[in-house]
Amino acid sequence: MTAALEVRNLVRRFGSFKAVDDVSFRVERGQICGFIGPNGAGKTTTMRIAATLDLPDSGDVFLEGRSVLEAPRAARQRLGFMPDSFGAYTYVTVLEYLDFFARAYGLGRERTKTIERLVEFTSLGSLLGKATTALSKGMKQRLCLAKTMLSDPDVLILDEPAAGLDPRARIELRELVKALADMDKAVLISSHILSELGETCDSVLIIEEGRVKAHGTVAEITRTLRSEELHVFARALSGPEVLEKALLESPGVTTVRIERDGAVFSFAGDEVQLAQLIEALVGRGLRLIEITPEGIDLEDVFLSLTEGRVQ
Amino acid sequence: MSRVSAFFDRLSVLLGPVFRPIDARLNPILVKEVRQALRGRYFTVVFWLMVTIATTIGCLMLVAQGRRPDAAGGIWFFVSMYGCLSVSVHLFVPFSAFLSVGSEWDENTYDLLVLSDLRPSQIVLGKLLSAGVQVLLFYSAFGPFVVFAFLLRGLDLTGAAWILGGTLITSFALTSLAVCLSSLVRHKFARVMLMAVLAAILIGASVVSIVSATQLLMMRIFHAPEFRDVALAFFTGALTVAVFSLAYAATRFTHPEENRSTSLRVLTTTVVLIACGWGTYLYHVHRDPEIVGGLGVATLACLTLLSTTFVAEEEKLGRRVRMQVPKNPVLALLAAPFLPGGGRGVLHYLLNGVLVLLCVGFSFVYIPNTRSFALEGLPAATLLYFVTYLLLPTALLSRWSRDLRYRILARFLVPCLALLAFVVPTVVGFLLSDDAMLRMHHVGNPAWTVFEALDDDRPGLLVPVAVMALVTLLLNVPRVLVSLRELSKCSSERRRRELPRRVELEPDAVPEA
Repeated sequence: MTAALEVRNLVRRFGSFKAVDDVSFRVERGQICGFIGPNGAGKTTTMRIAATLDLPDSGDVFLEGRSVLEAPRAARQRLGFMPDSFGAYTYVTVLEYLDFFARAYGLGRERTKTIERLVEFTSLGSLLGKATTALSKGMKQRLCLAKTMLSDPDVLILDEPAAGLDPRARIELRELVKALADMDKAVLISSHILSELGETCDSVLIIEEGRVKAHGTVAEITRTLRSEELHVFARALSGPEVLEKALLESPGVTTVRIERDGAVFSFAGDEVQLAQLIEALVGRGLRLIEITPEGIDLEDVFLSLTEGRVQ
Repeated sequence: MSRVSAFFDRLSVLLGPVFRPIDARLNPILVKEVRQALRGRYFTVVFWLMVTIATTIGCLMLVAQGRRPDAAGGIWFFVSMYGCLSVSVHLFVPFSAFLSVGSEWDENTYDLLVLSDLRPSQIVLGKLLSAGVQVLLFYSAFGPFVVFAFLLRGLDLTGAAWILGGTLITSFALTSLAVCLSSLVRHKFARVMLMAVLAAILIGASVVSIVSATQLLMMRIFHAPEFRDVALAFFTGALTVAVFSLAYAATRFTHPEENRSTSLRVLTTTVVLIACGWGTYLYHVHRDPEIVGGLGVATLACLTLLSTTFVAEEEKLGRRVRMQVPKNPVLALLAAPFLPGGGRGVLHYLLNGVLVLLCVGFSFVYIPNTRSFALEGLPAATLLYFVTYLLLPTALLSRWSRDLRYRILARFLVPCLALLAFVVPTVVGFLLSDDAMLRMHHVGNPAWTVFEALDDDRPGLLVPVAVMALVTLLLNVPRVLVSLRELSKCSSERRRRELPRRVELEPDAVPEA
């Protein structure tokens, strides 16, 4: 089956410097793929090539199986690219900005309805008469997203859309991105805010020095990093010392350390055996009030896979 | 007030269905640019400043007229107003277009435009049309002054119409040039340099237009048949500059993988054909062989200048262009001079050069009585020099044509080679105290060599030039052959790609048969 967006063996050099080195990945329809990497890792270059704005030295990008290099105009009609910097025009209001791009995307008489729909989707209704240069960063990002969606693209490439946004604007943007995936669009999104991507994305691509370090769902990637042992935080009404003693006497528990008002212990076993251990502890009269397996999040994955090297 | 607004509401309801389809088809760049320009400080300030200056000058002139009436009062009033109009439409409007294109790079909106459905030609045309709207606004503001000048004595209305028409076309050409220059580079420093060059050109154009308008009005030659030819030649030249500038600017807005060269090559050949047509027409009317010889050399010089881009292009075809090579191998070879690539650029240059020579030859054969070997040979001898200047550096550097730096270097070396061939022997002459070389009587000086060879019947002087041109052509042969082989390969690739489709279609066709 052809993917909505497929990047195949992409290589891009700037002189002797390899910005993108054999990058390959796929994004299906209705899927959000997070693109993570330190500054200068090759994210923007890859995205610009996919958006037909740059050329690779080798490799290709396909939209629904069609090469963007061989048919850039056709690709642009199916693709929405939101660059990391907002291009505002002076002396142009929000409505005029959207009207201009609607005309530029060839929307004829239907452009009024399309603009109305997108203004509602991005909640820009109260700002239609405001100059684009006078908008806040969050509102500019919304406007840029509305502009990107004017042509109703199947694939959306969003380069750092959450950069510089306040927490509320970030949450709102996250909801918008989720709504886009619900509309069966393929979304490739790069961001530095890893917790955001972990919650939003169906799959994640980690890139460093132009090379793909990991690709898959968040669960798949964290599974590869998980050690043999489970790390669990527990808290009991009887206090951390009693809990520590009980844990040390339990089978499978290798290390225990008191932390906050509970204990963190390492357990050599799977989740079924952990459930048995909890049962045993309760059976011994220990009044447990919290058991939290300490998972590996995207930040841990990112830190362990990348070395923070900037090219 | 409510009646007025009700009237306009009703009018908009009535006219809405008429104008809505037109509105939907308007060039988006034009709509945006006009909105921006009319709200922007630049246009508002310049517009009111020029109108104020014109009004002040007009009032002062009227006062002066009242005291000492002048038979040519109308002319002087018109010239004063024309000065303000000329500065507005020859200086400020093209400069505004330059800034407008530059702002697309500065405000990061270029990428957004490229990603839209807008074609590069639409972007460029939108910028030009927006400048056109500004020019029309200036004309409408200065219209009453022109009418007033006619009411005073001495102004020839036909002359004024010629001048205003010419100004419109010149402004169009200068705006196109400004758009082209601004689209050439994105780097700010380089753009500031280009801005200075453009400012000098625009100021020069404004001054020349004011002086020319004054001279023409005073001489009253608008009804002379020679004036019509000169005016037509001027308009053709201005339109050529405009169309070329726009076409070049459009290529700068085109995706690098797409064909950026063919439109310019076709346009170049068209311009060569127009020049040839002009030469033949002028020769037919004036029977002056110098016109044909001179025009031939001028055409070859322009062709060489334009071809610096084509012959220094990347040798290999882009992926997108490979798909556009004709499937028919004969057609592919015939299309070779018009497809991108340095080697194919050489073919294009030679094809056009031969075209000019054939046209010159035809003009001389056409009227045998005026046959002049000296002038007939002039374009051919000049072409030998141009071939060496243009094709030697580009042939030597063609191996590295994938690298933009080498391509720029190759283009830069073309005028450098011409200059070095001229200067170095003179310097050597100075060092060796050789009087002839010091006076630039050497083969590096094309003017001396060509005229000496043709006028004084010393064709031997041209032998080293011809040898050099021949060596240059031989150096270019490998890349031309490689470029032709590439075309043949692309053509057969396309045929092969089509083959499986036909095979797939055949089983369906059998039952129907």
